Amino acid sequence: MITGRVTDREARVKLIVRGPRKRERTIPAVIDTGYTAFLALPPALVASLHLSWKSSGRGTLADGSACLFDVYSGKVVWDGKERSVLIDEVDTDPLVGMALLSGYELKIENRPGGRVTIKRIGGRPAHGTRRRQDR
Amino acid sequence: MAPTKRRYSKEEMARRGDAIYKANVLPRLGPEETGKFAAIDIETGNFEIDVDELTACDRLSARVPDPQIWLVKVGSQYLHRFGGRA
Repeated sequence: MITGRVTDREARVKLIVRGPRKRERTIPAVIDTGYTAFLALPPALVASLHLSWKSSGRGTLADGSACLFDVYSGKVVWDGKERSVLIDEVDTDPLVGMALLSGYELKIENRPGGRVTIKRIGGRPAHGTRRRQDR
Repeated sequence: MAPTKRRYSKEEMARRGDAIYKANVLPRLGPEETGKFAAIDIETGNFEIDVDELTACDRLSARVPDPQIWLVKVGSQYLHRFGGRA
């Protein structure tokens, strides 16, 4: 289970994000159910973690306009396990999207300081999760 | 092996990627591929389709050394949406 708090009308959790050569940052991230990917990080964080470039793509913003962005590969500690994920580089606060939340139940006590809980629904582990026997 | 770096501007990635997608990828896809992800190497035109974008990229990278990947969500104008619907 992942837990966080509601602060300034945002549901926030702390995440450990890892790049190559044991580079690691603990970052506060906002849960954004309107965001369809895994994780978005600002350029400064992408650079500091030395993430590997993977691809480019076209995104759409809330106002309907299009943007071009780079996608990097990295790892995130999610529910106590390391997961390989794609990370979108965008000029925003770190965002957790619906792809990372896939297979999980999100519960928000929506009041200042309210508890945010993200719990696995059950069944198969989420994509990119390395199980102990796979190592 | 050195990590792959982007060798083209994002605009050039989009221009070449869109052209390959329309000419070579889309005609080979059936309705069952809608919502999947297409990873396209803009230099060779090789591509991979998967329900998961990371898997599509990894499979293409295993086939094509140092690929320049343009990612597309099949049947959609965009790969990812940031924020609510307009």
